[in-house]
Amino acid sequence: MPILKITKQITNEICKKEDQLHLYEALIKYLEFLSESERSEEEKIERAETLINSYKVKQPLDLV
Amino acid sequence: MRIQIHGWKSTGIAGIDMDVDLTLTKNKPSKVAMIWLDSGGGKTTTHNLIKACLTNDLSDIENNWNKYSRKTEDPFYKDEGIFLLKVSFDNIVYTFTLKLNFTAKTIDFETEGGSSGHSHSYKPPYAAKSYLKKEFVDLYIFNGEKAEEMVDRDSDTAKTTFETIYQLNYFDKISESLDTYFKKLKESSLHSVSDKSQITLINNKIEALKGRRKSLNDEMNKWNKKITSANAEIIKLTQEGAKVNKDAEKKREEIIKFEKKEKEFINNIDIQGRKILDLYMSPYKISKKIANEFTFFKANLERLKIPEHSAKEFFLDLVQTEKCICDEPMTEVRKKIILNNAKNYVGSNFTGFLNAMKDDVKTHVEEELKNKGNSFESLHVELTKNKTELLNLQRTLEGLRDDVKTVSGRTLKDIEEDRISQLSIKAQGDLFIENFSKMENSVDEKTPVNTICSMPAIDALIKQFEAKLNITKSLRDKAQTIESIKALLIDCREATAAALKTQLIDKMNERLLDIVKDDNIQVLSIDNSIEHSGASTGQALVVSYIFLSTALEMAIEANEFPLLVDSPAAPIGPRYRKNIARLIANLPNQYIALLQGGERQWFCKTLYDNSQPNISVITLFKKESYYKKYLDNPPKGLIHQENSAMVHGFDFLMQFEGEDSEDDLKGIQKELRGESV
Repeated sequence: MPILKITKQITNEICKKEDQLHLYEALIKYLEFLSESERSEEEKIERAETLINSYKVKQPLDLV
Repeated sequence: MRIQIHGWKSTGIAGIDMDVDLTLTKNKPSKVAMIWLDSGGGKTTTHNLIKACLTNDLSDIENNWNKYSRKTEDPFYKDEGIFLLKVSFDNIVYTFTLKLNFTAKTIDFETEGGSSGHSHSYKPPYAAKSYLKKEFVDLYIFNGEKAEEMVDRDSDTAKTTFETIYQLNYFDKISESLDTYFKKLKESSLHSVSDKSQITLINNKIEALKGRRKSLNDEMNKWNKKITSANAEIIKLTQEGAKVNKDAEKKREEIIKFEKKEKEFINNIDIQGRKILDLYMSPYKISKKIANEFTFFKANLERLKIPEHSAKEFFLDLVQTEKCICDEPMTEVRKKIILNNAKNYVGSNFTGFLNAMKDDVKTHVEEELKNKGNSFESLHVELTKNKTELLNLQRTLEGLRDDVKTVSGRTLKDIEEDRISQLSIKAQGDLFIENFSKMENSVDEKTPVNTICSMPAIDALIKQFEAKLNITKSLRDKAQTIESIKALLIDCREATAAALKTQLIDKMNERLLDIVKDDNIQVLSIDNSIEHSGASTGQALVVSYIFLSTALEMAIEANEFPLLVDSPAAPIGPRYRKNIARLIANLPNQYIALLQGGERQWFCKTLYDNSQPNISVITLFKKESYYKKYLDNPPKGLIHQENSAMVHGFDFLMQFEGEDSEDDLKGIQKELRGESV
């Protein structure tokens, strides 16, 4: 079952605010992947890694 | 995706045989279906088997064979039961067949349809799989009796349903998978640490190793200086030794020469000493005075005619004479006296001694006196001279031996000792450098840092620890990332849920206004259960019904699922059935109601009226004595099954006299007369 438009929309808004648009794309793909059928642990771990890699690490503020 | 149920066929399974065909025209199923089954007709079994066919979850059958098998005493008992479900996915018809072997307790699954044709397994179209997950199918193949749980404050069914319909639980699944990923990552890492204390520990180890490296480098520099100094010292000492050796050679030759002389002197002194000792054996030789005394002694003896006139033998001879030396006659008495007194004079033995002395004096002493020199004195002078010379010689030797020493006063031995000492320093330094330079394979992470002397081993350990630190840092960074993503997932989930709840509550309240006209019921919130202002059980169940239908309607967007409800009207009660029926008729998706006794009144007519002509109505009943009148005098369109009969049509359903349906029929009559509940 496809992910609801409202879910996508709200997720997009939150990710955009956090400057995490790559994460948003990976997250939606992961949600759709889960909705397609039952997934094995290995499959989910693979997606989890992709999701982590898509996270934009925030650099600490340069206070100097 | 559009999923529609076209019908099902059941034979040999608990309940009655049935062949439900919902097809109306052109292979299209009706939008609404009302299937009436008598108590014990297998309504719940049918409901479960439809779910099993759609999901391939056969656990309920495998765990409850007795629920699906007819009793052995049943005249229609069969070893095998077959259930066949006909369903279309985007208008492509599939047939799922379950063959239950009650003796062997085995289940065969067959699929017919689509591009793969016939298959001896569960093979729905791939695109439909996400709609056929058990958690989702449980919502649209719904047990109406469970509607109560939606409004039960002690149950979280509403929450679970809400999260399942809107797939909010996927956020949790993603969160869980992040944790699983991290757990696996930690396990597969060389060192499963990510906490600060471990990082500090590793950092401390690295610092200690770096400190050790610096200290070894310093020590190495010291040893290099020491070796350089030792090498220079060794060269200097070798040269010094060689020089000392050359100078000393000459001296040594002299020493040898003087030592030879020293030996000669000692020998001479020895001989002279012995000669002097010999002189003591002949005292007359020592001094002329002693010799003169000897000659004087001899002269006295001779002058006294000793020993001749003093000998015993004189008296012995005398007694033989006639007269004594005093001219007196030698009488016997006299003789006797003289002989007796003769004993007092020296004998021949002493005489011999004196004579020998006299002879010796004459022979040795008098002869010695004739010699001009004195041997003792000359010997003594010579001995004294030799002793003096020996002493001088020994002083010279001592001087020569002293000369063998260097200017600094060091002997060759001292120099050699120093050289050995420097060589030892050099050897220690070389050993240190060797240990410092070569790889020490026995060193590991547990080796105390201050005992490590190998620089490559220290470097390797630092590298190893730094690698660990990198892994640890990487793990820590990953953990932070995961925590950030999880926090973001919670935000997304909560914000989505809040938005959906607002929409859902608004839509539900809108529908409630239309359905519950006699009371102003409002849904207040949807948390674990649905909080509403309704007072009666009927109102609560209406809320729950509206919740499910509205939530599904909102969720499906471009999709259509059948809503098959087992006992849809029973829990609602008569008052709101008509409005619920009208609501159902207006739902966009297919609706199938599995009805039982008592549910027809105030429900079926409205549903039928609002769904025409796209509605199928089927009444199924057992072939038993209670229904003899229908079997003996069959209504139009009666279809026989092995243990059951079936009639299509709304009119028959509304008139059908089922078991315990007296009240139901009264209600139907009232409804048909246009009276109110």
